[in-house]
Amino acid sequence: MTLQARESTDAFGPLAGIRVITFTQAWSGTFATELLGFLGADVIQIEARRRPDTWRGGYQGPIPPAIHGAAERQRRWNVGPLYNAVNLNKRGITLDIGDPQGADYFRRLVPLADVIVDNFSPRVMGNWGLAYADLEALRPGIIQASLSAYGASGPYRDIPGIGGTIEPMSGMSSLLGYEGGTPLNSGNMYPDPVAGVYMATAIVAALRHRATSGEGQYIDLGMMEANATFVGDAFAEFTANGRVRPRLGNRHLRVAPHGIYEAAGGQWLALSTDDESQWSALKSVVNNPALDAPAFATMTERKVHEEELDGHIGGWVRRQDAADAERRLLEAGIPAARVRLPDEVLGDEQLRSRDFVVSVTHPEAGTHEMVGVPWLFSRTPAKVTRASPMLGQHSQEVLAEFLGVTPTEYESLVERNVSGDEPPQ
Amino acid sequence: MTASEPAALADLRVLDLSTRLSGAFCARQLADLGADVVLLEAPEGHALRSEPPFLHDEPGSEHSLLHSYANFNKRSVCLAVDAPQRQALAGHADVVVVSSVDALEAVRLLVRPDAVVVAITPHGATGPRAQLPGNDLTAYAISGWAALNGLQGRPPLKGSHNQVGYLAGTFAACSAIAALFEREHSGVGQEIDVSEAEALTITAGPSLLMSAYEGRNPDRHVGDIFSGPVAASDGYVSITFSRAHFWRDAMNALGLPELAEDPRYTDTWARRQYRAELAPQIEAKVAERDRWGLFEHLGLLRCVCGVVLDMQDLATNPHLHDRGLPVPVTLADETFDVPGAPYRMSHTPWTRRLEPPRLGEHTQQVIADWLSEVAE
Repeated sequence: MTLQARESTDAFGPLAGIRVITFTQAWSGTFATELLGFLGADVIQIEARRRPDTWRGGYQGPIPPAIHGAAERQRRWNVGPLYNAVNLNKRGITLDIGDPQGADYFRRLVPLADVIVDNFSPRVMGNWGLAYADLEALRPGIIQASLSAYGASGPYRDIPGIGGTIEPMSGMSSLLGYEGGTPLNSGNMYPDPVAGVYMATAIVAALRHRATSGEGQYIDLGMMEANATFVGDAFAEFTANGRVRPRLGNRHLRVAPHGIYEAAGGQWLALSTDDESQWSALKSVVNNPALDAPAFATMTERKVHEEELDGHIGGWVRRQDAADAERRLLEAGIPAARVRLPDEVLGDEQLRSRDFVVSVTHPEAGTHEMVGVPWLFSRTPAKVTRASPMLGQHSQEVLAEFLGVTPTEYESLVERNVSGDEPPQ
Repeated sequence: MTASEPAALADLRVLDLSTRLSGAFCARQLADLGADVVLLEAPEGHALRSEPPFLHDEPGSEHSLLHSYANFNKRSVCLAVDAPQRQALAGHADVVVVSSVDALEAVRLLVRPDAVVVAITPHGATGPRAQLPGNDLTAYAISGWAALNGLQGRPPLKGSHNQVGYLAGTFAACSAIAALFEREHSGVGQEIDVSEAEALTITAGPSLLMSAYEGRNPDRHVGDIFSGPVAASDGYVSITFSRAHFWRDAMNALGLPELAEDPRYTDTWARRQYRAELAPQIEAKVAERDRWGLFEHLGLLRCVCGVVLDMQDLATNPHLHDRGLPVPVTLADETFDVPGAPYRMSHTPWTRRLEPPRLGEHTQQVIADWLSEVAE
């Protein structure tokens, strides 16, 4: 079998030559496959025209105002900010696996894949005759990775969930919030990337095992338990000490001061002193004799007298310009950062200096700066090479490249809504 | 682990020189997949040994619950900072994990050409802030996360304790294994530079692009209908309506059929403008129900609903126990559960093999294993 991508001169990254075919949607699973794409895998993402990725935002709805008119032709489902934020480095095809002909084409793609990923409910792939044994028969050594809300076994296995429900179910929401306040969910669906980075980790580990043994395997990731591992110390605080950790706001179990304080002009400044040398440095910068009191002499004392301490620190920060205070505190060796608003984040000098901020041109949404790759590899760089695909953008290209599908054959698939790049007719 | 269960990283040696949670958690994930991970400590002990919470609130180098969680599956070697074996261990490692730019520069001179060196630092190992301090809190400020979180009229809000360490450590583990995979055919190692602030900023990515497309910064923490979990009769639940049938079925289940059928509310994007009138009606119905009853009722309808679990709920949750998530660890002769496998691999399973090590517990053993020519 000729695997054309393996011979491409465009290959880059530690996963160069690996091909991933994925049904992932929304963010968690799709983040996993985006990370594999950053690492150099050839990632082919499959959608169905009758069931496009929910993060495209549907076939109706307004074009977001700030990109209105950015291109001559703008289709709503191609300019969803959520979808376009998290599908970099993928080729997007439509193929309706619920259709027998679509399923047949998919089975012909499987032998060309190293990894198959989905985030369907656990029974879906099996219902399509695409359980691990089926895939392994088509492609010995294949790796199948399935991500679901609660995993493929256990009492909740058939219950659906998304980031907004996994956050409470994993213990995260009970820990997020102001002291004495109600539990909160993050404003940015944090459990999705947590599950996604774990899924990418497991897939890469499976690839490494296959490279040394020739064996493939099946990976079952439940978002609830993946996220529960990120509250491990709070979990142990209950199992070992019997204490249910309350919400801490911006405070820390050991460190004081540790907070986000209001600065001049309605800005906010995060600052903490994690050890005695940072505390001494802060006292020098703030220059307030009240901080020399015995109540603030040790970290333990400062933690006990945190309310009073925060009064002094907050009073000082309120008179400061946040950016100027950040600079002076950092120079003195104290962790500090002005709170950036979303539209300020990517202007940060440090993030830009590391090429973490990338400029991406999308055919219908225009050119925008985005977050890029979270790793700098010294020898096999991971990088951003493609904008998020439009619906079915690469259908014809991929089907021709992998299966030799002719233009006439492709047109018949489009007519039957099995493939194509528009809503179903 | 039984002999019949191979491990994905069984043949690898990892030297954990971390001084932060991110590095320690990265190295532990390599250990969970079977690598021989040596936590190299100085006589004062790894930094996490001094972090609360402590067993029965009694500080001490063998009492930190955070240490027990981030360092199980590792062997501990205790050597003075000037001991010659420190350098020798670095020369015998397939992977070295460090937490500072200075440590990266020092270890670079000691490792083999095929070693993978992973540096996880607050801001990354290059750039104007490379040598400046940073932590969990500053990452929340830099990433936009704090500005996106918390409630209107209240201070920006960071995520829960230690999130950035866990997150950056997991990103780093992913990249280290990718480099080990690549090494299988190139035979050559490399360095990987991971920034804790960047790891967190990635998780704000969709919100950042949304504000660019919308041309304005979003209101802080406003969801579809609710700004957060909603009070049920005995706790809190989160309900979201991201698909049309979620809304219709959930409204019928809550006894609000008039909302279910109203065409104004069918589309998520259109429904949002009626948030102020819809939220109180739904909240009143949710308040009459118990949280697990709602979870099961809505779950049967394939709507999405989550119960807010606190740490007691989580540690005793029957689904997680059925899945085998909690695993025991023993610290200072006391045994308690911690979260175990974040995923299940059919051939090379995640395993908890070793207890959290006592400081220097394996010094002689590791020197014999890794440096036999030196020891003999």
